[in-house]
Amino acid sequence: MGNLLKSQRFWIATGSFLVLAGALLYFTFPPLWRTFQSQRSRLSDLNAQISSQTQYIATIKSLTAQPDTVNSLYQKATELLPPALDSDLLALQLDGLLASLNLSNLTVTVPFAATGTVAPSVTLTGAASFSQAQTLIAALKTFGRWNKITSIDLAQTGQNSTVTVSTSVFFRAAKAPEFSGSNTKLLTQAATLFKGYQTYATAPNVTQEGDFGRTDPFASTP
Amino acid sequence: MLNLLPPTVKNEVIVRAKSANLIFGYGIALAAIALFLGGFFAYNFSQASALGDKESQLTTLSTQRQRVSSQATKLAFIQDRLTVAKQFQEKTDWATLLNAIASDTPQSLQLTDLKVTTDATKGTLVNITGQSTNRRDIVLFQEKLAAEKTLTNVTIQSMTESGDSAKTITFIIQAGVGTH
Repeated sequence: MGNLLKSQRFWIATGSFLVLAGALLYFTFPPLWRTFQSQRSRLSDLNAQISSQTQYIATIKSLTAQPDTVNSLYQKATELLPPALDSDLLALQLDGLLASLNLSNLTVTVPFAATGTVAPSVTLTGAASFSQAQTLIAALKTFGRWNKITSIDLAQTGQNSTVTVSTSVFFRAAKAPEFSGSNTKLLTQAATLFKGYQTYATAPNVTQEGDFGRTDPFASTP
Repeated sequence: MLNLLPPTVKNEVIVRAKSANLIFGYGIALAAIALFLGGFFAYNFSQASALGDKESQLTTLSTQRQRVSSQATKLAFIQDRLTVAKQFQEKTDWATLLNAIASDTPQSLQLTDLKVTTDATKGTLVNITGQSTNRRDIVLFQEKLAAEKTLTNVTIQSMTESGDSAKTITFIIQAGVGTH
């Protein structure tokens, strides 16, 4: 070994090897490593996105396998908490509710405008016995439009009993909600929640109902 | 056999042989490094191709997602309503409460007014106005109501006796309403 260390060829060879190997590693390895790292990270990211998208699409396809169920639940969800005040349907629903309870004599006041964040109130007032008032109040809890009673007034004057119920009705402006795609039991949960609520009227369909056309629209109705 | 080479020449031969071996080893090592780097490059190249495949797969999935977007919108709406349901649903069971008040009313009492109001500071209050000729039954009524889980702070606000011969006592009872 001592002789080798004295050899010029040894030092030239060793020096050349170290320079070559060092240069090769120094100039080639770092960019390769960076590419490897970035590709690995991108691949992992893509795999996660693919997995998430696949699951999302599979969930939607599985949930929408019965489109009638989805449409019916969507309609029910819209009725319970519409994206706008939707007073027209609310008034029809209340008419239907009162008719079903034989309380059509009650006067209904429906809001047609909402101010700020305050939920507008519906007022139902008129002659009704205690048991009729109880039935009405119970029916409002399962009424097909979410509402919260804000005041009740049951009064008895002589033989006359009257009821006045005010209830806040809600709406929720559409904020373009995004489906999470993770809840595979969404429709079952929705069906369970919505089944307790009763609908008393359907939305009017101008293309299929109504008797239109009068010669004199100012003449009294037949 | 005799080695007649002088020691210097003999050493020279040995050193040359060792150097040759060393250079060969260095060559092998350089080749190994080059092979490793080449392999690494080839691996990266193949990964780039795999990335391309994955990106194209993702584009296909995005197209599929667009196709189901109308159904997803409906599902999102249903999901949103499920999430916020508790915020908008009626919590108080008013019908049961009215039933309880009726059950708690003594035979000698007649209610003339029952008002439920919502006050920002006091919460939901129920004011019961009625009349009776029996003061004791009015107190019993208040105590019976106080035993109801849905009612809180049941208090008699007033008892006013009429000046006529009927001696009718008009009372007002106030209570808070919980959400049990």
